[in-house]
Amino acid sequence: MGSTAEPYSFEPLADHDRITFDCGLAELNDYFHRQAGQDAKRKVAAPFVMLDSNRRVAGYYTLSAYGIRIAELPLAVAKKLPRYPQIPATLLGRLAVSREHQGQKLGRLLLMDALYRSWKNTEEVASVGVVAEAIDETAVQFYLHHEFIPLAEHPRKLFIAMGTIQKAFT
Amino acid sequence: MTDFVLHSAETAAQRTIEERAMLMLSVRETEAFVDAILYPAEAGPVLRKAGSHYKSTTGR
Repeated sequence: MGSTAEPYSFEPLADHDRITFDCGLAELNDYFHRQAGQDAKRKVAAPFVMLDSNRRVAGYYTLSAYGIRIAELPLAVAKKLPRYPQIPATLLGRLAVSREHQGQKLGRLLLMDALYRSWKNTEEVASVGVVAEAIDETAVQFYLHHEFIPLAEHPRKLFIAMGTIQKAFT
Repeated sequence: MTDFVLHSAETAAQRTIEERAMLMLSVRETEAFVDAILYPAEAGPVLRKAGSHYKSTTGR
């Protein structure tokens, strides 16, 4: 590996140039072009951007609060869990790397920033883990490779426990 | 009429937000999920490597 300073930085989406972003997938492009700014303003989701050394957007992801409703459990197991109607979690709704920055493992860097941020956020807001929403089968494989577990009846959703995330950073 | 249309659009939007903000798990999924949060897996080699790469890259 080179000895040059890493050129990438992460910031909450603000007035960055969104319209030229192209990751190759229309749905993720459209969201970033048209919706991400509004979501940030309305606090529906928090988009974060990865910037290259020229402050161009190399990638983005979104985080939002998520609730998980579990099925009825045997009493012995249920006793170990907080008795909330919904268990608080974090949704990693979208994650995309621009075409010109693909092939440099930047998806991994984006993912790790999302996981690190989700973990750090548990100092202030409870979350038992991160649910990733995969845009396609390639994305499913990406999350499985990074040790997310599949959810049997939700083929495009994968989960990683906060306890496991913490162990990746400590 | 306009009010009704607006109201319907609003409730539809509200419903979409609620659907997006909540996930209901089946019995089988619940077992895997509960197991994962009660007994979190060790970070494996891929995740561990990604974590240390991230930390050295960002200086965190």
